[in-house]
Amino acid sequence: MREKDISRLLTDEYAERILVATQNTPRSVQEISDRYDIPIAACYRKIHELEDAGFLKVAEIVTTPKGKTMKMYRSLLRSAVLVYEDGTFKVKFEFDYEKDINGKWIELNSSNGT
Amino acid sequence: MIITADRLNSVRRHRCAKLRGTTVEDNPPYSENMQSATKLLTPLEASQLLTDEYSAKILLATYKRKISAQEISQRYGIPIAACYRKIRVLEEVGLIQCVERILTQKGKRKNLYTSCLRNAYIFFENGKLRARFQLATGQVKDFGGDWNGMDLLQQ
Repeated sequence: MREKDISRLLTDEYAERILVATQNTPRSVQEISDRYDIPIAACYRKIHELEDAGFLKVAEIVTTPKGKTMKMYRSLLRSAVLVYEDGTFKVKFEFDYEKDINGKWIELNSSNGT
Repeated sequence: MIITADRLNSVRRHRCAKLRGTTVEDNPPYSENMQSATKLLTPLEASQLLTDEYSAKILLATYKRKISAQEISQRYGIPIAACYRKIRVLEEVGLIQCVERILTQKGKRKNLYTSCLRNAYIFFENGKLRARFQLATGQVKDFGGDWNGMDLLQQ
């Protein structure tokens, strides 16, 4: 996924709530959906998007008393900054793990309309 | 100038009313409550204004130059109706403004817009979103200082 899409993902209402929800405690999709008022299908979809982008990871897999396995997700994003200066956008991410884009300013040059 | 969520809503209400052929009372029902009338946009709404694909393109297109809606639409591949709609919203919150109304050769009026936004910063940290806008006038708008949505979510 490109940085531009990642930064748009950040300001998505549901994605933002999911990131907040999973900040310190691993949570299940069902729990996030219930507590943060996100439709369950949208919740699964967003969580998969966030997982693909490297924002979330499965912290543990628990088995419910009914025998169903449940993935618990935790946020890996420590901070994100989006800056618009001199007509250009740039972003900087900090993740909890080693990632090549950690702490680097990435320009999202869209002056040509891309 | 104060950027309020109410102002955003009022545009929508007026446009909906126009579509239905009715009018909107000029006093929104909640205007008696000064607190809500001056409520700032949430940091999320503010940052969405910036990261929305069309809004971002419009802000870039109007940066330090005068440009018409038609031209933005063509050059940046934004559908014309969406372009007008986004321009309206951005104008309402004061991020762009109409600086000139020129007459085309066909005698049609054309609004030229320019961006009022100089710098913008969006932070996501410790599960909180904050936004800061610096306008051309030197004014600084902060969003997220008194954000109560987050506290509600963290219960």
